[in-house]
Formats: sequence, structure tokens, C-alpha cells
Amino acid sequence: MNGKDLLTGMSYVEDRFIEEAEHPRKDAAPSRRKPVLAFAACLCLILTGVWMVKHPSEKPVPPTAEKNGVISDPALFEAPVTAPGRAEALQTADGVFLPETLLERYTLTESSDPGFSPARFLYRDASGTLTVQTEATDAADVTQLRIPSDPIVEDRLAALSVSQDTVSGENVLLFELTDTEMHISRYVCFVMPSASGGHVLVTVGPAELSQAELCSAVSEILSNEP
Amino acid sequence: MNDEKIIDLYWSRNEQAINETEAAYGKSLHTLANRILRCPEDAEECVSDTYLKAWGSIPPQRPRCFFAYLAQICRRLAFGRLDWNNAEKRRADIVSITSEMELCIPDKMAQARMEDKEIGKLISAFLDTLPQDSRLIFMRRYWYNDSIEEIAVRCSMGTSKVKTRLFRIRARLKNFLEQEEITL
Repeated sequence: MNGKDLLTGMSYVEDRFIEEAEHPRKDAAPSRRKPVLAFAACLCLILTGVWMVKHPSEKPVPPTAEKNGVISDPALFEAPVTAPGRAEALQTADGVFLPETLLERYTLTESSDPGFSPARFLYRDASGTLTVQTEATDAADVTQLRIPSDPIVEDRLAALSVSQDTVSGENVLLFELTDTEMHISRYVCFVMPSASGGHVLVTVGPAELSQAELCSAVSEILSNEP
Repeated sequence: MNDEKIIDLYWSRNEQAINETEAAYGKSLHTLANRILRCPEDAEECVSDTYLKAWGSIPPQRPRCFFAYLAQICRRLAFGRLDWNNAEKRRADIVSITSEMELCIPDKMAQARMEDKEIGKLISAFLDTLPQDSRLIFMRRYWYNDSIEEIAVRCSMGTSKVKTRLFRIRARLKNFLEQEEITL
């Protein structure tokens, strides 16, 4: 069997697949379901807010204070914990939960390294694709990602699929990173060249790194540069 | 006219059936054949032959998905007409799709001989394991021979994402075929 056989043999796939590809089922329901889901989501947020007010001691504290220049929205940071059925899945063994919709972004201060600028946009969608919007303009930059010398992380990242795309005219890097991988890796740290000079630094994951740890990780990454 | 009524015309041996089929699906069938043959005249003949085959097979057949039934006939006829030797020289897109499919075949399976229908069954089983959006991308690329750009427009995503998705689906197909070869 060769590629030609596979291609011609495909003519015999079941009718339903051919029909589906030509006339994909339009999600008729969403027009009706979307408002309901949006309402349900709002209700969840309100109930969560009420619950949080009533149980202030159990409220997770976003680790913003110890990080320099961190851009973190506490409301979004807390969202995964309150998402029904997701809290447990997102809880790591050491009790740190993983932000699902908005991952942390860090900027080192100018005094520590003026060459670093933050990734401007970073999120992970439901399919597990991690999207990083960068200032990089050259697809070759994708291959220049640097990671800390953590064998587990390196191993995981080696298996990641990285591609470049454009969203609303902005360059975007796409990574595949699943929940499981996020659990295994304490953190993932990327450094990539910035169009404005220097590097873009991105950390992803539970992000329990202190400023000192972060600097150490970056030094380690850069010292490994060819 | 809906599919049921057109099929009724075939069953009553009314030649109007061909005109109605042409009106309903002529354009889609022509596009399909032309994507494979890249020759409007050949594609036209292929579509005419499709009607003829449909006329000869309905009755006794009564297809449930009329378009899929016609498209299958048309695709088989188009691939039957395709001169693979010349295609290698002239049809970069067909060569590209063929090589992509080649990558999905596990080494051990490369030696095996399989009937087209068996392959169709295997691919159908594989398609059942895919989520709908991946299935759509796979079918558009390898059944309808759409270009990456066409799929990107159809699925409202970037070309890079389409390529990435196709890469993963092909890896998944290879894995699926590797598991299946044990049972062959």
C-alpha cells in the first residue's frame, strides 16, 4: 500500500463523512444555547463572588506581591478555581492551581535586564493550544526558543508542536501544551528574540518562581545560547 | 427539488432526473473533478459519466445521501482518469497530497496489498475517532483535494494552524494504522 492507494481508497469512506465535509452541521443550537451558557457563566461568577466574600480566608492569594512587573488579573487568576468541575483537575500536588484562561506574564525590571520585554498576549484555549503573541517577525525565531535545563521540561517541550500564525495582523506562536504536561512541569520558561532588540521572556505554569529564581532561570537559559 | 424527488425521478426512469441532478449538484461535482484532473474538459466528461453511472445504478439503489453517492462516483472516476505518470510531472498538488498520505503508512503496512474498499473501511473507522473539526479538515484536504488556503478560509483559521492540525491528524492516522495492522 502506498500514498496513492490510500488516496484512491478514500473514495470508499462512508457517505456520512463526505456529506458532513460538504455540508458541515451548522451548530443550530449555539444561537439558542449561547445566551443560556453566558447567563449560566455570569451566574456562576456571581455565586462564586458571594461565596468568596463569605469565605475570605479560603480565597487564593495571587502571588503578585513578590514578582516584579507581573501583569496578573486576580479575577482571571481565580477563575479556574471557581469553574465547576475544573478546580480539582487544575490543582497540583503542592496545592498550586494553574491559571487556565490567562497565564502569567512577567517583565524583568530595567535595572535587572533592559533587554527583556514581555510577551504581550498569552492564553491557552480549550483544546490545549497555548498562544503566545510576540514581537518576533521571523519564523526562524521560533526555533530559537530557550528553556531551562530541566530534563523533564526539555523532554516535554521537545514534543511540543510549534508553529507561527497571524491573528489580526499580529504574529503569534502556537504551542501545544496539555493540562497533564502543565501538571508535570513546575514551570516552563521560554526566551525568544524580540524585534525591538533583547529578548521576550515568557513563563508558564504554576509560576511559583520568585524574582531571584526567575533571574536565575533566565541566566541559565541565556548561558546555554550558542 | 429535493433529493427524494430527484431519486424518485430516477426510479420512474424520467430523464428529467439528470437535469435536476445537474441543477442541484453539477457545480459541486465539477469542482471536485476539476480539483483532481485540473482540466475543465476532462472534469466535464467525468461529471457526465457520473450522471450516467447514477442513471445505471438507481434503481436498484436508493442512496440515502444523494450528494455523497454522486461525489463518490465522481471521485472514483476522476482518479481513474488521472494519469499518475503525467500527474507526477504536471500536478504538484496531487503529488503533494499523495506524499502526505504516504507518510501515514506504517513501514510494515507498505508491503501489504489492500483493496480500495478495505482502505475505505479503515479510514472510516479512523474518521470516527476524530473530533468533527479535525474530520472536516482531513476530509477537505484528502477527499475533496482542497488546498491549505481553501481549508483555512473555510474553517476560519490561519494556514499555519491548518498545517499543524493536518500534521497531527496524519500522525494520528499512522498510529491508528499501526494498531490496525495487527488485526489485518
